[in-house]
Amino acid sequence: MDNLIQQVVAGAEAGSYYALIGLAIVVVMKSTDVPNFAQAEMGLLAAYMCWWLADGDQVGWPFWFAILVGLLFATVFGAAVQFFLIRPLTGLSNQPLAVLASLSLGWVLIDGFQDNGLPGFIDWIPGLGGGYPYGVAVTLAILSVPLTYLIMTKWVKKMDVVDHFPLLLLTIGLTFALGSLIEIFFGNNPQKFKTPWSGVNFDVGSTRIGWDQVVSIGMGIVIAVGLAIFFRTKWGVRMRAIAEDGTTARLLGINAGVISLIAWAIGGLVAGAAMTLKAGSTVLELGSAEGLILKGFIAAVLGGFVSLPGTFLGGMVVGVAEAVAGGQISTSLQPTMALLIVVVVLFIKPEGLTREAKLREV
Amino acid sequence: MAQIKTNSSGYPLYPPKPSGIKGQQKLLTAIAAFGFLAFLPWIPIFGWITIFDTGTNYGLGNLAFVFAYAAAGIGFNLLIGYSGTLGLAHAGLFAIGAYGSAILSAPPECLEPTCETIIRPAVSGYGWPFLLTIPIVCFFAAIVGVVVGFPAARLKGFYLAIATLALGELIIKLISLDEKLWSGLKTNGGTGKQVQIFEFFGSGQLKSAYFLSLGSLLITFVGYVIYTENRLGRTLKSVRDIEIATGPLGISSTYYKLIAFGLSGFAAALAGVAWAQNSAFVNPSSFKTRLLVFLLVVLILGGLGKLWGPLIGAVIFVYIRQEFQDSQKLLFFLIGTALMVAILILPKGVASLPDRFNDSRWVQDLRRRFKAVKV
Repeated sequence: MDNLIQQVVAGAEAGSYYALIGLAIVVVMKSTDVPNFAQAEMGLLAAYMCWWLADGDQVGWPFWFAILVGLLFATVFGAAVQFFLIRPLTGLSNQPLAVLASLSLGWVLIDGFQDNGLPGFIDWIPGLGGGYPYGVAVTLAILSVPLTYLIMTKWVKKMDVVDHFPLLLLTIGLTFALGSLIEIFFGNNPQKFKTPWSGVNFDVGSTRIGWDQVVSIGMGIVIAVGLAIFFRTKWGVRMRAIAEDGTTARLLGINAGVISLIAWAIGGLVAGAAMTLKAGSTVLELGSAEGLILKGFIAAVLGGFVSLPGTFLGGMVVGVAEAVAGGQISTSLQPTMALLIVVVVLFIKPEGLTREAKLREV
Repeated sequence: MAQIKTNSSGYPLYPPKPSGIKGQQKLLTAIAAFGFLAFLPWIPIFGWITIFDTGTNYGLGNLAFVFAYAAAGIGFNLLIGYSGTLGLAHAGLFAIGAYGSAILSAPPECLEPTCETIIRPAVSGYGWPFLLTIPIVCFFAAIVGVVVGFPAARLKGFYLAIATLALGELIIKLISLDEKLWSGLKTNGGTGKQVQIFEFFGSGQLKSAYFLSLGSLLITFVGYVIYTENRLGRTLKSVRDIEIATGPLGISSTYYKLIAFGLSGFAAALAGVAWAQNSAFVNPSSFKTRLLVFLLVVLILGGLGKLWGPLIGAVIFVYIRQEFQDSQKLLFFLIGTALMVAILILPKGVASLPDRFNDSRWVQDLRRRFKAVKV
């Protein structure tokens, strides 16, 4: 019995991470109609940022200040992804992307012209082998900037109809790129993220419960409630309007671009909080995003991709079911539990656990 | 020029048949290309590209990987590019092919001292002839593909993507569970399994793997052409483009989608068999989401819905992968970025570049000018 309580608490802790990632996915989904596969990876980047700022061996800022800056970074990063990458594919301007791409390519090319900074597979292009003096390299790189800009503005297709498939693939590509960026900047060793509450336990009866578990579950509930309140404010209502009928909402004068930007920022913040909580409670490692994103999607599926309470409940159900099945039946069942749940739900009740989901065509 | 039958008002009774030259040209191109590829191991003309230098074992192996990925990509193309269904269980189906033939063709377990060689359970299997296992495994994967496709009857778009992604992940998880599930499933758990190498007439592992991969590419290629040039392909295209209209026409869209799922499962397993023979070792971790992303890169970079797309994509992908073998993190960054750039700049892939060039205003202008001069 004590075992069961412990398993339920551990499951609820894992479930709150699933639920938070799921909520981030749903918020993005509501405004932009993109299933964001990169959500957990974006959160992981923020978690690494928090760790890097707070860790004594790295930057070593005070804990709470580091968390604040890290989560701010998560918010800005989420908005930046929408601003640069998602906008051109949802019928909005591709200028920001063109500027960013041409500037960053120019910056890389300086190195390439100057010495052998370019990877081997393009150094057979005459002139890119390197060995130029610095001034010439900079000039050539600057000349390349307008060229890239022209290509990007001419060739990046502004779509009239938003198509899910390219957007979905874009986020998959982003997942890969972000994962290796994290590895390049922070290394691939698992890190211990020390929090004021890590390693502190208390006993309820004969069951030992860690404060990190309490903090994770509590923060999960707080963020979920906060999101629910947000969707009742002015901007939240606009976001719901866009989600339910984009065309009419636009005709009524709601700026879809700004709404989408806000949603991505919120998604980044929530995912960043989830990954930071997970890092503080267990360990900070590269592989943690890969497992979490699938569970996040399962939570979102259980909520029918629109319902916030449904998603939160779904994440909790998956977490607890996993832990209890692993503890009571067989440990080999644990990794397959979530997959079984989502398959069964999609077969029997594809519209999700709650009734709100009927609005969307499944 | 043949007389076109017309009615009394001068309109043609039926549209004139296409001259057929285009089809023949296509066929000749394909025969020439495959003949060329079949003789490549003896004529190392790509010596100047180290990665595809067929004079060396390294280049031969890389080319075999190209063919295997291209074969899987063609199957994927059939599903995503042609029937428009987002089935993402391909990594699992690929694993069924790789594991299935490895297990069925491995020699049976033998621990007695009387045995010729002692075969431990980890490398044991069922001892079937390798060539026989290929069709069995492929048909099995086709059936699994159809089962995976069942959600397609009810779900659309990314709901289907997530359902099939979960099912594909489930297959990999079941493979890595092994003994706990059923001891007859000799997948050897998460540690991976040695593959029994098959050799064509003693031609060595690499040449055999090369021809197996080329054969799998040929089969999927021919299958794709037959499929898309016929009624089935046209029906699937209409299911993709005007699904609302196909129901009243008496076409069950679910039925045709399931066929696409089955065929793509077959192709994936075929590619998996060739892939396993080439890499000589299979491990559950090599079939995870990563493989799915590789296949997506092959497909999208090459060209969605294009015949030669997956082959072009596979060449580019294997080239990048081998070039950055030493630094994995840079490799994955590049692959992710390549996927994003491809979607943003070339949504129809490299194979669409000639079309894009022909359709560009500049070329159209030139053409018009030439016509004017002629007249």
